[in-house]
Amino acid sequence: MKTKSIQVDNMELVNEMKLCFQARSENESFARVAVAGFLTYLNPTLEEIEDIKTAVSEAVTNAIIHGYEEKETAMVYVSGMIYRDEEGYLLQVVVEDTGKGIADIEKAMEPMFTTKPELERSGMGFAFMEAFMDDVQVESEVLKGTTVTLSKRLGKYEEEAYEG
Amino acid sequence: MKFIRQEDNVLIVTLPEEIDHHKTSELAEQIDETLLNGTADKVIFDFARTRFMDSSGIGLLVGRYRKVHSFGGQVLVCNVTGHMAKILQLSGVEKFIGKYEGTI
Repeated sequence: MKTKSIQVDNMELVNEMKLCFQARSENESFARVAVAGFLTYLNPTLEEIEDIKTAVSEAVTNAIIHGYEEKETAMVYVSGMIYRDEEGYLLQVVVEDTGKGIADIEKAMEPMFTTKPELERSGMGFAFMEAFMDDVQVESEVLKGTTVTLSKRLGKYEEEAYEG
Repeated sequence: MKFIRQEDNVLIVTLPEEIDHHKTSELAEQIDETLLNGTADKVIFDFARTRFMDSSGIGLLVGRYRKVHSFGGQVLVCNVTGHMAKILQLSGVEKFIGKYEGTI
């Protein structure tokens, strides 16, 4: 297990949510829209929302097609946390499956690498997560499942300004 | 609404509002069927309606590029803005998929 390069230990957890849904491709859009909705009250920029939606979509798609290999009754777990410190807000999204796991995480994260070229997977999923988020951590165990933790600092917002 | 239309030798694909893994599998099948049965040797992907895309969209473009390129054809994109432009640039597909500058 790698140490997290973004530490939330000294931050205050100000909001939290949990979702759990079937591993159906229809739910890819549900997951990213729900996460975007979760942070709307912080008034993020359009660019921040687009970046986060893409990263969440990549992680959830991976869980569905790689973790569970499209076994639709399996469940995908997504949780969202908003942390705060003097620098501002940080969004953390954890996407978890209890599927087949990743044998070689480093290989899986290489750009253009895919185990499913027949499905026209571009192999860009992890590269996009890394490009659009500040930090991506992957923990996995074969036959146990995979947990992807995505973190992104949000611009400094005055929460009070949007309360009423 | 019809997503695919052909004008002379050009196949114009109007991409949906959201391009993800759920949408691309069906779309790829429809485009390939039209290509196989038709006479088009140029495919233009129109992003005018598109508001979201993830790496599945890159898979869709690269997959069609491989097929069309194999018989000497061409794949182009148009109306690419904002987030979609960022994704195309990051993926590196711009090296072999050009921009169509005309109106469609």
